[in-house]
Amino acid sequence: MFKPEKMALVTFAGPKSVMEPVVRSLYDLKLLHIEEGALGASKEEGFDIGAPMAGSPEVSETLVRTRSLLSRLGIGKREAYSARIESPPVAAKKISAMEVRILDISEKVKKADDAISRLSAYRSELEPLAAIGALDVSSYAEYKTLAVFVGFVSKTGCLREKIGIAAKNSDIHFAEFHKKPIIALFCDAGSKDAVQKVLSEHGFSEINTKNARALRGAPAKLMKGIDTKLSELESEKAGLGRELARLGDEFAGYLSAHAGHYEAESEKLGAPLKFAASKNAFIAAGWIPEKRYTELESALGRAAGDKIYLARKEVEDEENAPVALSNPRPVKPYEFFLDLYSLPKYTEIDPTFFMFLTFPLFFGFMLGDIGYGLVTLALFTILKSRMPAQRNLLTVMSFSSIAAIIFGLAYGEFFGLEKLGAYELPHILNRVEGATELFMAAVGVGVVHVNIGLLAGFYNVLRMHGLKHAVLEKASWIVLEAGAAIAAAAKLGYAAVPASAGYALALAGILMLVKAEGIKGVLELPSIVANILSYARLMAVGLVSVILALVVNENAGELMHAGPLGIAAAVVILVFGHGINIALGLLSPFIHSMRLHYVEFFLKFYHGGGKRYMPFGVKK
Amino acid sequence: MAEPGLVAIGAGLAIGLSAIAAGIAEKDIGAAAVGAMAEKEELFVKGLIMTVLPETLVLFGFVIAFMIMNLAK
Repeated sequence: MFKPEKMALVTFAGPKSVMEPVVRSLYDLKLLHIEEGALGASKEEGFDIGAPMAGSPEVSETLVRTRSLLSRLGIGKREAYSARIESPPVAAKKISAMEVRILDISEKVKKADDAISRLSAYRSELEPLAAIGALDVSSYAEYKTLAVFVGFVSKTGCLREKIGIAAKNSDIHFAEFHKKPIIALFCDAGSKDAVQKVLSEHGFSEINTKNARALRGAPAKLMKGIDTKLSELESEKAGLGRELARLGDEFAGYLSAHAGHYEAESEKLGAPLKFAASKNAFIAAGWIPEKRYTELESALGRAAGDKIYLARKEVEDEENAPVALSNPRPVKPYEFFLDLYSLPKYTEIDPTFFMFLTFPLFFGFMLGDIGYGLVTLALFTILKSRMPAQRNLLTVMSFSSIAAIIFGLAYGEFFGLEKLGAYELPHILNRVEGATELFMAAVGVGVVHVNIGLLAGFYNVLRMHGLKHAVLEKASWIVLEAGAAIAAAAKLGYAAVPASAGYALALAGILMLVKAEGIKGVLELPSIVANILSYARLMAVGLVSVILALVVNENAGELMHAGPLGIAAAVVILVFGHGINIALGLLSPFIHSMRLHYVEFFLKFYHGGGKRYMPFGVKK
Repeated sequence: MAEPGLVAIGAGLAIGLSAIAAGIAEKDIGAAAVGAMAEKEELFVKGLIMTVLPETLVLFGFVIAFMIMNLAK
């Protein structure tokens, strides 16, 4: 429970004739975490990376084609279908036939899409021209002697007169498009520059008509024609979509099942890449949980008889072992936090149990309300049946909700109310009035938690580097804390020892720290104060939640006495106010609790970076 | 000495300014976190935690405001 699952390092070797049955047997066993490179079988001894088994390229190719067909049909990877798996040649032929039909539809859809975008481009160019009038579209083309300007202007005042002056021959039409003035101006090519100057004074911005100009006919009529064509194309696309969906229903089961099968085959055929192989033999190494070693022995025996050699290897570098967390059932959901952050190294303490104890504690400390706890408990229990994928997180939150209810009983709060009618809720501590005591309690929790972290760190360093390092690095902090506490107690008159004893002890602690980490250890001194004070957020977040609830209740309470309309308004305020408070109350304590663990707690002892135990044969 | 009005202003400044500071601190971290998430969904939790790290600033402000408010009692 405090350490990851104990792993044994095994190595096995045999002739290549037994490689395939061995690989298949290992895949079905689902226990061996293969260590790539077989731990250094070297080239001089004739070994190199093994080659994939026969059939691997074909399987990979079919797998890729099958997956691409599945994605064209819009079927997700996760959906599980089962169908009879057929032999590779038969399946390949069937898949090719499906491919032809699916690709055919995809081609048609693409052609329709291209036509739609082309026609839409034409249509958007025709729109302003239609606003200008019924002039045949081909007239907007430029000639050697005729210049055309079509576009928006910002002001039209005196434009006609100015153009008349600037150009020798001109004709100008005004219209409105999208509530802005636009013009179509035709003039002789010679006056082009002068006209352009006038237009720029009027804020002219050109509208593109290149494509429209190539057509013939009145813009409005052309637009109608395009619209008909567009709706034809859309219905064609819709029909093609329906046909694709039909094909999907027909083929999905077959393709999905085969995709899954080929994935597994591909992994098995590619397994030798993780082995070392010579011309006729192969050698491999891997990790397996200590307690399942005998299963491996019998599986290999069944697969290869006495042709395979299996032995345990001495573990020199323990840090590289893969990590499989092992925790009892109630604690297991909390592994979710370590998955999120990073797995512990094989040699470290597994902090899951600590989180099992303290995460709900902190959450309850902050939320601390019977009513809110009940609501969230109900919410998470309902969600657990709807979202089985998030089972771990939801179980954690259910425990935390129960903790919140317990703390609510201690604080005597029910939706922020201290009294239910005439019945006063019993409490140990009222959060608003006893805020200072709450602050002390929160900091006290901080001191305890940080020191648990230091003790865990002591154990870790003890295991990895020995007693001296452990004492200097971690125990020094504890000594320092003890010294500071004694000095403070003496100063405040609580203890009978002189303050100097405390100072001396603290100084000893500092010296030990400097010895361990050099001068930068001194720079870290303030960090312990900051870390412990950080736990004051337990009180702060809780207080925020309480005060919000109180405010909501007060406002609603006042409205309750203002007649039926007031009562309705009061109910609305209550529902919304407490709803928001619950939402905040879920998010805030969760994040802050998580943060306290990840930052303040883990920083004292956790290194992380462990390799996950991924046995051969288990899907990721 | 502890005038209620001044105490209130002091407490307000304490929490208000530290909240602004936390906001300024978290804005860039938050932007980077969202950018990272857009590329890799699994980074959501790490990004969220890192974004909320500067909450300590607000916390200290709150504690001070609280202690100041106690002065007025």
